[in-house]
Amino acid sequence: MKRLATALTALAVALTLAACGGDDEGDVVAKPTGDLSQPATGTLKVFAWQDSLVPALMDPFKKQNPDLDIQTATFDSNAEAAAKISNGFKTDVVEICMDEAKPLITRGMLKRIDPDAITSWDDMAFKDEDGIRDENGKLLMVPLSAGPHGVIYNTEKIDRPIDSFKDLWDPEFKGQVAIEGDYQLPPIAVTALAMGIKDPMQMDSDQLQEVKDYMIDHRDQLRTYWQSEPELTSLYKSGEVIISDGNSAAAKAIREAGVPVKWVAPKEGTISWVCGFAISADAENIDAAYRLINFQASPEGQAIRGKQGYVMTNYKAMPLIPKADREIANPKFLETTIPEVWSPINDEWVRAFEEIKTGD
Amino acid sequence: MGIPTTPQITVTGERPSRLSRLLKPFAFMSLPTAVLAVLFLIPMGILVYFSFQYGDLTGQSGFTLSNFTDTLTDPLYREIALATFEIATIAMVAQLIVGIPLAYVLAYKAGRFELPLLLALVLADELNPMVRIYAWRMLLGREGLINDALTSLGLINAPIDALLFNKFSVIVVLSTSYLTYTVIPIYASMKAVDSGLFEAAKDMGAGWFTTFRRVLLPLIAPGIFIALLLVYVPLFTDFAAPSLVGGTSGIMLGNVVADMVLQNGNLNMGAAMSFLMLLAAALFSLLAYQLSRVKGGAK
Repeated sequence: MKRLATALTALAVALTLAACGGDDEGDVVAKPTGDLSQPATGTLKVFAWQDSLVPALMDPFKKQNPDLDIQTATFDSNAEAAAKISNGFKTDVVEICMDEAKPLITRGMLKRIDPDAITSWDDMAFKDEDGIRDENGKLLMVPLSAGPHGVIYNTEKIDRPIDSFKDLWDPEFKGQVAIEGDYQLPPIAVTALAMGIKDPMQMDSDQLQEVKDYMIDHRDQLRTYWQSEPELTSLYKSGEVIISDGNSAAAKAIREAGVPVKWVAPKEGTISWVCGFAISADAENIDAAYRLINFQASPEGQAIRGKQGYVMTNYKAMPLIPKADREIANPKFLETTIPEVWSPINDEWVRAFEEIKTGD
Repeated sequence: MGIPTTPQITVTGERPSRLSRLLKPFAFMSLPTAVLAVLFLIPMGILVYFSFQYGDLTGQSGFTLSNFTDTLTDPLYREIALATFEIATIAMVAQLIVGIPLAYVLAYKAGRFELPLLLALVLADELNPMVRIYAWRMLLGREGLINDALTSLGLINAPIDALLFNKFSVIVVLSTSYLTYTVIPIYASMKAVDSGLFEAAKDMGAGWFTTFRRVLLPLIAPGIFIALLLVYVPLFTDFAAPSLVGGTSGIMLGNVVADMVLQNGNLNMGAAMSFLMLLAAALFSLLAYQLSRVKGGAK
C-alpha cells in the first residue's frame, strides 16, 4: 500500500513537473539558420488538425525534401494540443487557430515567426490582422486556411431573398433552422450579429447576457445544432432544415448531395475561423519548419487547399485552381470577414452556451 | 571440471503442499491482475489526480477541491444531472420492459429459432453506433418513415416534429442502443430456471402475472442486476445520442464532460465530473446488488 502511495506521489510529481514545462521559450523569434531554398534534412515533427496533414498537402512537400523524416500527429482542438505539449509532447510545427490558441500563447509554447523568412508573406490574406500577432506585434502564425461563415438556404423552399443572419431567427422559418453548435463561438457570434452587435468577438458581459437570453427565449426557432458539415448535409437532405449558417464549402457539399442551396455572405459580414502554422517553443528543426510553412503558404500549396474546398489565403494561388473551384476558394471572401478570436470573456461564453443548451 | 549430473526426477505421488495450493490461484491471477493494474488502475489514478488539480492559462497548477465543490454546488450541473437521470432511467426501464419478454421468448418459446435469434441480437449490437443513430433519424425525422406512414394512412395532416431532436428521441435511441446488453444476462439467468416451475405455479392457480412476479422475477434478479450494471451506468455517460438527436434540449452529463475536455481543455473539471459519476455508479451498483440479493432470496 505504501509503495502504491509512493508510486502515485511520484506520478503526481512527474505530471506537475511536466505541466510546468515549456514556459521560458516564448517571445523568441525563430531565426532560420540555413538556406531555405535548399531541401530540408533531419527530422520534422508536425502537430496539426488532420485536414492539414492529408497526403495531397504533404506528399508534394515530401518530394521536395526527400531526406527529411516527417513525423506527424493530430489533435481536435488547440486546448488538446496545449495539454499534450505541456505534458512533454515535442513538436517543431504546431497548427493554431486565432480563436483557440490562447492557452498555447499564454504558456509560452510558441516561438515568434520571422515574416522575412516567409516567401509569400506579401501575398497573404490576414497579414495585417492583429489576431495573428502577440501583444508586442510579433508574428505568431502564418494563416493558411479559413472558413467564412455565412447563410445557406434551400432555394426551393425559400423564395424570398436571404441576405442577413437575422433571417435565421425569422419566425417564418421556425423549427427549420440549424446553427453550428459544436462549440460556443459560432452560435453566439452569429446570433449577436443578427441582433445588431457589430463586433461580437469583443462583446461585454451585458451584451453576452442579452444574446444568451434571446437564444433561450427563441430555442424553438432552431431544429438542432449541427456538429459537422456531413451532418449539415444530412439535415438538408432529410428536409429537417431549410436555412442555416455555414461556409461556402458546406453549401457546395449540400448541392452535390442533390439539395438546391445557395450560400450568401450576410450584410452584417461573415465570421471566419483562421488557422495556420506556428513554430513550437521547443522546435529543434527551425529550417524544416519554415520550409513546410513556406510550402503550405505558397501559391502551389494554397491551390491544393483551394481544390479541397477551402478559401485560400494566398491571392496568387487563384490562377492555379480550376474555374469551378474559384467560387469558393477566392481569398476576396476574407476581406470583409470578422476573424474569430479568443474573447476576453471566453469563460463567460463557454458558460452561456452551456446554459443555452440546458433545459426545455 | 566436475562430472555433469543427470537431473533426477522422482515421482512421489504426494499431493502438493498446502503453501503451493494457496499460492497457485495467485500465480494464475498474477498476469490478469497486472494487466488490470496497467489498463485500469493507472488511468483511474491519473483521473483522480487530475480531478484534484487546478490549471489556468499560464500553466500554473496545484491541488484544489474546487472542481468537486463547483460541480456539486452549481445549479446548472444539478439541472443537467437531473435531466440525465431522467433520460437514463426512462431508457433503462424501457429496455427492461422490452428486454424481459424478449429474453423470455428466447429462453422458452423460440425453440429451434433460439440460436439464430440470439445471434441476430448480438449482430444488431455490432452495427456502428453512428449508423444506428442516423437510421433512427431517418425513421423519426420530419420526412422519415413514421411520419410518411402516418401521412399516407391519413392519420395526420402535417409531420409530427416532436418525434426527433428532443429528449424523447434521445430516450428512444438510448433504449435501443444497449438492448443486447440488457437481454443477454436476463436470458442467461432464465436459462437456469426450470420451466417446470411455471407449470407448478399454474397448477396452483397462479395467473401469468403472479407467476412472473412471484416465481420468475426473483429467480432472474441477478440477471437484471448484471443488465443494470452493463447498461444503466453507461447510459449516464453517453454523449453521441444527445449530440445527434437531442436537438436544442437533449443535453446530458456526457456532453458536458466531452465539451469540458475536448472543446475547452478543462481536463481537471472533466475529470472531477467523471469521478463523481463513477462514485454515483458505484453506489448505484451496490444498491442494485443488495436489491438483487433480496429479490433472489440470498442471505
